[in-house]
Amino acid sequence: MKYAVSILTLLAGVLHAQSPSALLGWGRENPAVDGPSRGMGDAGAALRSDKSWDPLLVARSGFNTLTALEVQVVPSLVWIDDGTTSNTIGNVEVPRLSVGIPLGAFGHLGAGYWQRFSRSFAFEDFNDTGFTLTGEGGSFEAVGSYALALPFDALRGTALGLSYHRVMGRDRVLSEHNRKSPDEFYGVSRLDTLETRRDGEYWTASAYYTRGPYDLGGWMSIPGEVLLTTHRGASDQTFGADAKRTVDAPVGWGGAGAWRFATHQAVVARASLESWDGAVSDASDRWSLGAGWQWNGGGDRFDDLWQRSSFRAGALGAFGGPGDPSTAALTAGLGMPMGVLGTIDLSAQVGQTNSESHGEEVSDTFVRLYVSLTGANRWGQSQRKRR
Amino acid sequence: MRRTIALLTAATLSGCGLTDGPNRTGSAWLDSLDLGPEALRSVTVPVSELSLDTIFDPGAPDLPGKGVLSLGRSDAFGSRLSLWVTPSDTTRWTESSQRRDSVWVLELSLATSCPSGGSLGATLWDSTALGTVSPFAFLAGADLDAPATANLVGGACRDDSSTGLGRVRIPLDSTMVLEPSRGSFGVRFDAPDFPARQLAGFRLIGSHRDTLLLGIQDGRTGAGARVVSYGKGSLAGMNQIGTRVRIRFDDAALRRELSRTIGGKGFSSDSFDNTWALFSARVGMATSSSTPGLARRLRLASWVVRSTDTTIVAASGADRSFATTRPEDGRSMEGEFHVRKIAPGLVRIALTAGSDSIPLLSRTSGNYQYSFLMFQGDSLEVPMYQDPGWTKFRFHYVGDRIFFVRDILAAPVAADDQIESVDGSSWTFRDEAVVRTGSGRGVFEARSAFGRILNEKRRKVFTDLYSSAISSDTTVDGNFRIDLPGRSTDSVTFLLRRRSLGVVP
Repeated sequence: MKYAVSILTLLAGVLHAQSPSALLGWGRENPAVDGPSRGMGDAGAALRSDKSWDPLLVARSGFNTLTALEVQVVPSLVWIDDGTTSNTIGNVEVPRLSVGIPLGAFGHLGAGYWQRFSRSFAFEDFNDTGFTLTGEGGSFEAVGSYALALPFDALRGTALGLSYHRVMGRDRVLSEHNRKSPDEFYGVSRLDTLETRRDGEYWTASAYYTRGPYDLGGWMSIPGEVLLTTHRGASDQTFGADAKRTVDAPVGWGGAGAWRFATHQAVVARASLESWDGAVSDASDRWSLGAGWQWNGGGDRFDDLWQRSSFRAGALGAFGGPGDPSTAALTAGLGMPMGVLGTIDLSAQVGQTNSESHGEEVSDTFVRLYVSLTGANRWGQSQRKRR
Repeated sequence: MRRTIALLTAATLSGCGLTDGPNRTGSAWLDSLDLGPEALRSVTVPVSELSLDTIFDPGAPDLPGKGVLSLGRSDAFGSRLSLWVTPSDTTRWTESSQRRDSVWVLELSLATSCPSGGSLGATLWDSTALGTVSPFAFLAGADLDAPATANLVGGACRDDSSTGLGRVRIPLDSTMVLEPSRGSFGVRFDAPDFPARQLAGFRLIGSHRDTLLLGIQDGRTGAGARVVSYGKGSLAGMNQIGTRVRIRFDDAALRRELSRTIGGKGFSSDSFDNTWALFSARVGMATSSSTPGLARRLRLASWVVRSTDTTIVAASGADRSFATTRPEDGRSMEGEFHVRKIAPGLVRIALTAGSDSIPLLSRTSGNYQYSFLMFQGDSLEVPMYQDPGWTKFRFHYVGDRIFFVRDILAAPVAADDQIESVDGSSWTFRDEAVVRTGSGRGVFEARSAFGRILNEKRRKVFTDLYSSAISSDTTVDGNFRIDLPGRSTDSVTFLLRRRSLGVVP
């Protein structure tokens, strides 16, 4: 397993072709949801689970009973179209790594890495003027959380959670323009670099309630500050000292719910709002919406694999934010148990992101295949006792 | 496990295999956000100059009247040498007898052999004759309305039989008795009939072996000697050295003109303007005349004073090092310079051999690579190469202390690659532009220099136009001349792209 993770992480670092729309704001944003939610329109944050962890709605983890390690990898294909030309590019990212440890009556500890924003893209001028523009890196968050299911009878089914988000990371936008004059022996190359480093923090408080077939949760992030350090460099140019400014972290609030009906089915929904005005001036708020359905398999290890698997479907949309892009996608997912190794969740998201500026539009039609591996078990108990 | 790894790997690699290749989609969208490739723009704009001077030394700054000692005139170059003599400064008398001696000669030592022909005269001004004109104004070359105290006529220039260097003796007024009680006076050389030459030094010699040293600056101007050059805007070859034209372009006007022509918002701060990525800057330069048969290469390079630091050292009888550390980059230059008081009011400053600093005029003697003497009150500039580039070291001898002022320059811009069109169908690669007789015009590439001129908003950019030899003429010696008609350049054709790299706000 560790070899697979290493290989995938390496590939994620190497493959970085993405749409130039990653220039918008802090980059292309990855929702932080868990593997099963990817197949349910990113909307399963409230669906009760024994091992899932959401860095925003961490209160849900107060009811977790399994120690879990989750790794997500997402290879994707993007068809970029600007009305005149189109291009197909591939990409691999590792949007999330997380670990959750239940402490019984003492609550639940969680920690994770969230590659929230990605600046990765590559562009060459259509007219072959020798101009290239590339982006790399992004902003990520290290998240630590604590959740506690309240032990009072009057508040049975209620949990509270608090998560700390450390904002870190660096992205760079690099342009290179090469030109050779017909009457000169050597060409001229002009390089430009814009590097942005981020360092900040914020907190998120959440509450969760589960009773019978219903699950409800909500979260609100307490605005924190992020120090942006901008460094510029260019051929034959002198710049001033690195520019530093403090902005608000792009955070907001949200809510999610789930209704587990029949024996194996559930519907979920999620809505959240991110405020961007404090992070990027004059940027609009970003709404993220999602809804989904799940058929959850059951039985024991001797049953057929498909009977034990989960099937999911959903839809999601995101609107607003820096540059006012809009995204809509349909999702489908499959969760398969892998015995002692845990589960593997495969989720496909097919959709389109559109961004328009001064009448010029670029659209990214994407197919993302989220591969999520979750190893879950009970710590501190022998294999025999677990059975 | 194997199936899992195979599945993950296949999923991961599936994104790669279907990729078309480099992405070329989104040009218009990027342009609309001011982030795109934008076509290169070719713009020809007039340029104006804030100042134009003829100087000798590379590096910056070059304070008025300071630098290389010279006198005389050529077709393209002339200098006014002014000396100020203070007999009451007894530290400069080499003999203590201080006899009343009325036979005194001002001896000028040339740095080269004598020119053929030419006469050298001077005018002498008593301090009382100068009236309200201060010694500083006199040294700075101020025009004087009051009649001179005396006109001095020099003898013939004679080459020393051993050194081959020229020497001219000019008797002072025979009625003038030189003694410590005598008031100060100035001597000025306009020397319109003497071919321009570099000076190594000068002194006053009495008939009884008394000598009054005016300065021992080793060919450089000091507190009592200043040179103001004429013939601004001309490149001229002199023996051993050539002149260069120092230009201060009107950078603000240039930026305004480019902004007006190209439009759009700039990418600018208080100190720097990074709006343009410059790919070419073809400088058009008209020449009003040049020496027949001339074919000279031209270079245009620029400097910026990045920082200035000062070190103070007390002079004593023993060698003491200048313990200098450059605050700019923390580099230590300790021990490079030694200072020693060799007589009351006279110090020797020496650069030790093997130093990181390299003087423009190197003359190794023992452990010293370069040395000079300074009298109390002297002020001296020495061009020096010290990484990252040419700089100017300034020394001031005040009281018993030496003030060492070092200007750190931004890395000098090397001359850009040049191409000379031969017959319109082929080209020859050269390092610099070539100006030929009769062409009346030179065009050369100066993108690096103009890139800096546009970039630097707060700091002064010193731009030097200078000549170097071409392959068939490997020395700078000899007399050549390129006259510019009152200005160095008439226009510059830029090939540039507005720099707008950033992210979408």
